[in-house]
Amino acid sequence: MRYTILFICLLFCGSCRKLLDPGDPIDGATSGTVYQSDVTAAAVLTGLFYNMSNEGAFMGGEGISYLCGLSADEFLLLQEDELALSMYKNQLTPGNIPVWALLYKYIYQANAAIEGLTAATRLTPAIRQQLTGEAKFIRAFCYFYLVNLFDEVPLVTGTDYKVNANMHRTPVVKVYELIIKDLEDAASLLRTDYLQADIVSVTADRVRPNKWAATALLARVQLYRNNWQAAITAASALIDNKAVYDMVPLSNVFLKDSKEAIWQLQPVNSTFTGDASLFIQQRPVLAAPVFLQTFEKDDLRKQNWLGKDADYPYKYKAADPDKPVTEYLMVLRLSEQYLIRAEARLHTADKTGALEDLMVVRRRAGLPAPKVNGTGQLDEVIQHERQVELFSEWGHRWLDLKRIHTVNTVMKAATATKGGDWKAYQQWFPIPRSELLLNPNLTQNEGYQE
Amino acid sequence: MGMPKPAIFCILLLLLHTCCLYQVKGQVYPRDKVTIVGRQLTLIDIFSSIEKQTHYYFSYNPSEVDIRRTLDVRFRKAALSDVLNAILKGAYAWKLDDRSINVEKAALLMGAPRQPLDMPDTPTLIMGKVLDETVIIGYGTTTQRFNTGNVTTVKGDFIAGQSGTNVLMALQGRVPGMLITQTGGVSGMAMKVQIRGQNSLVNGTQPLFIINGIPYNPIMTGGLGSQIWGDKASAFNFVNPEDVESIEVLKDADATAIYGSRGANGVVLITTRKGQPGKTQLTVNVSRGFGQTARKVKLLNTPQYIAMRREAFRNDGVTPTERNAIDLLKWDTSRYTDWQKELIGGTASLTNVQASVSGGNKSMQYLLSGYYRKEGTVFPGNFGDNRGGVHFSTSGASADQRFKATFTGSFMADKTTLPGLDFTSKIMLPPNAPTAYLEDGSLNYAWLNPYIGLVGPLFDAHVKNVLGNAGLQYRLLPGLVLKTTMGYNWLTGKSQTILPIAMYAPPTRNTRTGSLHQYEYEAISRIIEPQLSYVYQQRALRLELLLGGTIQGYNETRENINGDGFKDDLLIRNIAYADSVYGKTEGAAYRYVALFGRTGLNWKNRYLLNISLRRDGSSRFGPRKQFATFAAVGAGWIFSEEPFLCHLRKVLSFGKLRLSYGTTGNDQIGDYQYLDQYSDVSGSYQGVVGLQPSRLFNADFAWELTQKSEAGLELGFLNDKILFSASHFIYRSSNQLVAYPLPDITGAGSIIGNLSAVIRNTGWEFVLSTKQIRKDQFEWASSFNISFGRNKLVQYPDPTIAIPGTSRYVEGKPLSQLYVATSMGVDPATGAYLFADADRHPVPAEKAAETQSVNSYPVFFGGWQNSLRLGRFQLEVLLQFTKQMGINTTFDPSFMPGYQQNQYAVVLSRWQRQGDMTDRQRYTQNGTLREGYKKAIQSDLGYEDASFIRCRYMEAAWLLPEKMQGRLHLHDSRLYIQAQNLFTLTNYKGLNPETQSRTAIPPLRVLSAGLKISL
Repeated sequence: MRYTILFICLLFCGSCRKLLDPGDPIDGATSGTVYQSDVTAAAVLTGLFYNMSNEGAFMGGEGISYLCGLSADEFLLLQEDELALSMYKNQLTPGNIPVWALLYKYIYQANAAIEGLTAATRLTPAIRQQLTGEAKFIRAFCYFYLVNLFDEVPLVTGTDYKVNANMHRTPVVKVYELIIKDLEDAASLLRTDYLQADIVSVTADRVRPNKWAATALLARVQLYRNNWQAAITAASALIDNKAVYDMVPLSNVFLKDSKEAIWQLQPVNSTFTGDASLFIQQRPVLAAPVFLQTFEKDDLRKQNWLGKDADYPYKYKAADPDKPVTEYLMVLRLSEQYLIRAEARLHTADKTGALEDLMVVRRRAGLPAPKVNGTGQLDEVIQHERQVELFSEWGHRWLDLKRIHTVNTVMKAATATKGGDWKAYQQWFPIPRSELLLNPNLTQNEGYQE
Repeated sequence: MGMPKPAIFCILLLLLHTCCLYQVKGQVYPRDKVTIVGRQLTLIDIFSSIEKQTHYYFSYNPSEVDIRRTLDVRFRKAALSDVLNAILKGAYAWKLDDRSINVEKAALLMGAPRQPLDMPDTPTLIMGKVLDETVIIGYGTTTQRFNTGNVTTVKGDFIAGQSGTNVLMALQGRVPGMLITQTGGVSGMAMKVQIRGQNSLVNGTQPLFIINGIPYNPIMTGGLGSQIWGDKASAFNFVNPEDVESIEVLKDADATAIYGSRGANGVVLITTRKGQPGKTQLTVNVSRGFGQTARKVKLLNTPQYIAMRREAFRNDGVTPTERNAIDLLKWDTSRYTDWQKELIGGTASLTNVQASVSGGNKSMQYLLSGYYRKEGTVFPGNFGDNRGGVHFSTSGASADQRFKATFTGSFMADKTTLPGLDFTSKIMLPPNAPTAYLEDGSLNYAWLNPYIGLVGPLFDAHVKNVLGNAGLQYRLLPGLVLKTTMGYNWLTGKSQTILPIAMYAPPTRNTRTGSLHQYEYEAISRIIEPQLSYVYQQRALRLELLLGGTIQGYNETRENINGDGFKDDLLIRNIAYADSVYGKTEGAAYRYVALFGRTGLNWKNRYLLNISLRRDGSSRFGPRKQFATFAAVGAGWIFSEEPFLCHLRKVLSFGKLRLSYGTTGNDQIGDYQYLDQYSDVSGSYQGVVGLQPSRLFNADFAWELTQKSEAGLELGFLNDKILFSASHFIYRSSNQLVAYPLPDITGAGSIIGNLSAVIRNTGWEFVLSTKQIRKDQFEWASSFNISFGRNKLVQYPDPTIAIPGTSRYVEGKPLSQLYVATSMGVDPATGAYLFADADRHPVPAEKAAETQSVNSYPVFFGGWQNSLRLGRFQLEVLLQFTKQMGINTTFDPSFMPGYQQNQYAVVLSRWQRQGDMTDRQRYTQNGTLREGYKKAIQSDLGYEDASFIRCRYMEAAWLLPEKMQGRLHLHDSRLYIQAQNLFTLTNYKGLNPETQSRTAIPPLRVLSAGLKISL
């Protein structure tokens, strides 16, 4: 009998783990299997782009473009929506802050993808390389916005929730180090072509980031870090690639086959972009009077990119559900690269080059060469050009004000016209209250209660 | 809708089989031969010698039978009956009951020897020698006398009668501490089963169900897409109650710890019928009956309805137009239709035929049965359920009885047709709605006619259920038995729901297309359990050892395929004609392994100790927490056996105190929940549907733990004529699995993890059984049970962290407690609802303080069963009662009184003019009062007393006269009438206090009459 018991025990202990394995779920993959095949690995990144295009951090009423525009001096708000109003009056409270959660969600997905792809053994090397590049690009893109909206943020680079849930905020310099590293990696990993979802076939749609998208974002980041030469190098790489990228007439800039596009997001579940739906259909804002005044006389952008019957943003023009898709959501475009290089050239004492680049943008808007005397004045002209060229896009104005440290002077006046009272701390959004409750290591931005 | 072919075949086979066999009359006495030789052997030695040589065992009251009496015996291959007669001569009498040889004091029997066949169909629970009847426990048997755990046995013929199609219904009102709630009156609808309260914050609290050793998933997830069955359709709808012999409900730690991580919510063991040695017996049971909606609610009639609508427009200062008041301006305002009568007032016919044949000898027993059942619905149209099946059981043994094998199996085929929507949700249609049919007999499509539901959507399902299990056992040495049981269950279903073009008005049909929804469900459960048991008996000590292992698996797949764009209704069942096809496949998989052991000690039949242990592993948990150990200890003291209580024996015939403590786990948390799974995003990008991580990985994902303590007192008075038992339990459930909130920087708002919340369930259960009067011509026995339970959230780590998707949890309060606003009537000036604020001042809805507590868990519940026999007439009555608060369904959550929808007549007491003091808001037909109305539903007004006493089951039977039976070679044959839900006493205003639903068909009152004959 003793032997029998022993035998039964042995029988069990030896194979218990195996007996307990129920196999993989039939209705989905797991992290263990999803990076085993090219198709499912690619689907993870495709899913990430889908989410970005579907979930609202990057477009529409809770998107970066709209919220930053409200916070800055771009819009005149017509609605009484609570969130919009608090953004508009620069009176955010730590209660409901959109964007934060979604950006960190994308970072988690990118981190998971980077981890999975690094460990993957069965993928086609070229596909694995391309997907890793995409994931790193997305991570850098999200951190760029986090650090510019919230200042110091926790730098999450892994997937272990036990580590991540208790992270401290990381100094801005460290965050930028990761962003630059990721973008340099992405630029070397990614192909120069635009690919389809199979990560093999080339397509005309510019809806997945490629080497040039990483380079373009790198140019911007270097500009933000005042690394002028690096910014010039990166921007030049795009500007010189005339075969692929070129300036197009104002009315064609945001089309899906625009040659100016460096990276776009394809609208999902709709035939037009979320920004078109917001600015054209819902129309919660008009261009702010202070902003309208800054347009030079005869600026074609004023007619072309503002509504006909009222001055609402009209960069996207398609908002008819019965018509086929004509526009994609523009994320990165060539015009910005000219402005980046113009500013960087000016700071490296290449005034001629700066003017040259600036004129590419002005000429398209039907404007003559600006009358400028000193370097300082040219810098102001470039900043103004950024304001009118990039308005209602991706919070450029809000980020620029903070970058060149004019935010306090500009916003003091602007917030007053919006019915608020500007305080310097308001240039950073507050960290959501729920985050502070759940993670005692997080601290609130200065000035905010709780 | 014919009888399923397999069923017809089986019944025919059965009848044929029986005709050949019934002439062979078996022996009622055991034929076993035994050999016992020895001097001065005690009675107990002889008993155990017989037990070893046969498959019978002895059952006796130790206070009555002097088992230490010694005698000299010399039997060689003597017939068992002769041996028994010899050794018991004079002092005792014996009787065969199943496999137990019941020994009683002869005096009791000598006066009026009762025929064992006299009353075999009355529940033995009440009639028999309750204390020494076999009680099935996990991996073994015991008796109520020696059981250290809390087990309730339900057996008897009424199981089938009270069940209808769902065997769980047989437990309603009969098991203390077990709350069974139907969600509606169509068989297959979800059943809520809870034993001793809610032990989990958000996860499953269903007991573990085991049919003949095979774990059976009580929920058919997805319900094959039927809206009536719902997402949690009851899989017990597909088990034939007539095949069930007994059901044991295991509650405390001592009884359930041997089920480890599956036992926290209790265990229900279902045992099916088996063949008995003896004469071949054919039983045929035929019944017919009908079901009806038991209760009508009082609704407005047409004049009241029209007055309400007009008043609503007047109150709102709105002029009725054809657009907003079609019922007032276009429809006939004098027409009246009683939609309750039209839509749920039908009669559901019921036909049930069951036949079985059984018999065998000592080395081989068999049972074969088949049945057919057809049941309609109370809805209009030709809907219903047709089912048939077979059940068989065989067991065989080698000549020396050392090797035994059993094999049991059943098959059922079911066809159900139902409307796409429960017609009960349409009884609130305006009473002056136009006719359903036009004069030419065609459907009236001019309004949202409920009769369009007879055209589509239409649901039909085919379900098949196969259960099979085999057991092999070999006696290695005396007392040492090696045994293996294997079980397999295959439940599969297919359904189609069609939405034909005919649902649309003829003029619009050319622009419409049809749709088809197809579901396929398949669940496979399998288990192997090797066991080794050893019984050692030496003088006053009895030691039982058990060691075993479990390997269990469960797989489920659910497939849904939808087709749209069918151009023609004739082609609608063929997916090939669909324009677009889309679908989804889901599934579940579960693996489980365990080792278990149990030691039972019995010293002098007075002191009992039982220790059980289980080490188990489950695939539902994270890799670091897959294995855990659960254990329990139970102890009993039969104090009535103590010498110092001997002199009380005439009064106190039995007294036992028992205590148990142990741990069990809850693993009803879904499969794969710890895995970092990737799932589809909701749409495509670049033409491809991408994937996203749907969950974070949690290696420490572990069971919810329930520590169970129980104390029980069991007393028997006057020769066990009165039995009383009281149990008190304290359950402490911790390690709660919830979606634990995480900061967003982790990439997910939450992770499913174990939270250190603690829930406590405490309660008292009392059972009082009596055999009050027992005479030759008259018997009356009854059993009353009542349960009190209380639930409390003892500890909650951080009340500021709200668990997503749950109601508010407050430490120190029951989980089922809600906090609602307090109504303060209607504003006499405006007719809008007012509520109390924090200072109890009347304020409008938005300022109301939600401080009034409402607890929907029953205060107490129970049942009272009575068995009466007067001559050849028998009566069985079960009254079920519950005291509880329930949802006040007189409030329509979608339509306020005044809208174009009928209302309960209670709205007549509404506010009409300034100064009116009432508790019903004024009639209105627009949204201005909506906030107040919504708040009223969420206030104390939204709840009412839903206590009820219901005649759950009644059966009256007349045994055919002995002479007549004898002439026809019959025995145990009778005519009977059965009634389910005969009457309900309640103050509840809605359709049914049990379901508390406005929109689901309530449980029906079913009356049937039948004839059961045995040859």
